[in-house]
Amino acid sequence: MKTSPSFAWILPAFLWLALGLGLPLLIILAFSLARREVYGGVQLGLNIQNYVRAFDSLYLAIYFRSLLLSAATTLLCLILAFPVAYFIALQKSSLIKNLLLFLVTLPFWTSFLIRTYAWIIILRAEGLINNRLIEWGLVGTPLNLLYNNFAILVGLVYGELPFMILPLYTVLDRMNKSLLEASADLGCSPLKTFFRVLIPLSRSGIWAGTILVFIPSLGAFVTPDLLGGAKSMMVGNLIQSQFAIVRDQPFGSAVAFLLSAVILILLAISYRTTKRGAEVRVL
Amino acid sequence: MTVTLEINALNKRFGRQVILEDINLSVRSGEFLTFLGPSGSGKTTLLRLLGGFERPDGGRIVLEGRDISLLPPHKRQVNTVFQNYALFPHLTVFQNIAFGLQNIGLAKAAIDRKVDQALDMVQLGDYGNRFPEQLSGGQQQRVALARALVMEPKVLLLDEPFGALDQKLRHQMQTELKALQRKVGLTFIFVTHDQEEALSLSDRIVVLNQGHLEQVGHPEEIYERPSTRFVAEFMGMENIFALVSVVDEGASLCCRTQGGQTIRIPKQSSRNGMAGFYAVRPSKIALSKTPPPDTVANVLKGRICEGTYVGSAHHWSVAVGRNETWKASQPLYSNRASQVGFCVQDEVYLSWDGQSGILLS
Repeated sequence: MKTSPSFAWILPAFLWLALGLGLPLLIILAFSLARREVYGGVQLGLNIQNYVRAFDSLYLAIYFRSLLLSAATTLLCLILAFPVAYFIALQKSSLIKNLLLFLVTLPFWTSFLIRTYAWIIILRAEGLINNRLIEWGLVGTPLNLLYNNFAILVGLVYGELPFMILPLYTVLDRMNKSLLEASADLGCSPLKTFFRVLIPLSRSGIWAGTILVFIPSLGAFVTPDLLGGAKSMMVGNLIQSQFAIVRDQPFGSAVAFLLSAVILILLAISYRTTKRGAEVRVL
Repeated sequence: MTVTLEINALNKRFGRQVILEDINLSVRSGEFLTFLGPSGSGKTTLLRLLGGFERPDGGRIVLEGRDISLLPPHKRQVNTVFQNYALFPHLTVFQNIAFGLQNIGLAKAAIDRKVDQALDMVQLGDYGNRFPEQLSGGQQQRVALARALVMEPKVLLLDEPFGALDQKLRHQMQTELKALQRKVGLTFIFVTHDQEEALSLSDRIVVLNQGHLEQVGHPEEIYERPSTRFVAEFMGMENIFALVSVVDEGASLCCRTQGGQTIRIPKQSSRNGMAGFYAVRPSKIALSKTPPPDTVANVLKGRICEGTYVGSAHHWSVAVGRNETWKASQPLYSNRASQVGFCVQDEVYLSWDGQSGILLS
């Protein structure tokens, strides 16, 4: 019989979260129900006009783009990360394994801002890619690679990829490799094994990676700010501009609160769908 | 007897290391064949070559007339029971057993019927809806067996299937497996490093050592008449002595050990070829304080240097000559006078029949 550890263990983290997340969320909730004063001040009250305004078609397009870009980012990350995670998990030498994992986390050693700026140099009209394409005569005029949805997608996938690789690696590494042989033994071609064994057994990793990639993508604002154009604003940029440029803090708060609510609902759904699988594994 | 599986001049290397060298073997239809050997002998690699999980570097594997040497596992009519069971944790017992049948495009009704039969066969009729984690080791083992058997393979491969089970369960599963094999009549190839397991289960045993076949034969043959020193030692033979000369005396061979003792062995019970060692099981040697009658072929005189009581028998170590220690064991099931009254330092006579001993290469 195992005794549950004392809740004292999580008290410091709990207090930190309460102070750093709970309290600001309450402030944002209060602000979202407030009214904007003429010079950008906040007049507290109980108005829902900010929420009504948040569903204006102008903003719905931004939410839709954010969802679409985040979903595309997640899917691309999944497709790119799976072979990498699988390759690392199958390495026999733990030295090579650790080296490859180190390489996956290597980008974190440089500021995210600098890495995103680097993409500008790569993608711009006189950038690395366009210069080569023109030099080799593949295109006449530079391609529009920067300041559009494509550039945002490239930046997001680049930034979030490690967060997909690591949880996938964890489940694939833990997986009993003889299950793949058992599948082949029972008549599955490699492709069938992928769908009947590999994917179902990495489900928890796929979920974890999806959450870790999708949620930050949905709230991203540095990447779309630097790589996106005027027509490719994401919800993160909308919130940021309301606070920093337009100085409509109540409306910015309403959008921010909606975003948090959507993320919370998505998390709740994912928790419910993975719970049964997690329980079986624990048994 | 028809041959199901033919292995011809099979070779396997990992890098420069030779794992299997020139393996030739015919597996008969319906037999229970065991690959027996210590770790590193190549027995598991040989099984993996048959299953298709490794590619041979030379030679052929022919299954019912068809060369399958280079076929991937999913195209071979051979199934494996893996060492750690390798049950799919995300599938129920029923789904695990149905897994292979779904790949050969059977109708759902037929699959259900076959899986139910397989579950009954391994006495897990009520466990279809459980997940593997909810089963004991022995039950998981049965599911693994059912999952492979339900495919009706031409050959069933078993890779040390009972290695993870405790002694009592192991014996029970061995009995069940043997009964099952008789019932289904399929060809089983079983890998183990446990000589007792091999003896009790097999129709024939293949002893492997450092990548080559050491001896192939019936369990009695392997146990009673090992052909090499390695097989003899692996089968628990004691009293193995290097020979300095073997002289033909007509009806028998006269052997002289390095320690200077002379032993006779009837000619018909010795094998052809180079004899480097003489061996006799301790249980075949009788001990007495008085000289045995002249009719006994081999008599040595020595001094008891150690005695060990093991319950079912008494083991004695006897120093003979200057530097040889012979072992004799006396079963304790009867009240024969000869087995009582020995102490350390006693002078005793060791005696045994000529045909009890064997020559090894």
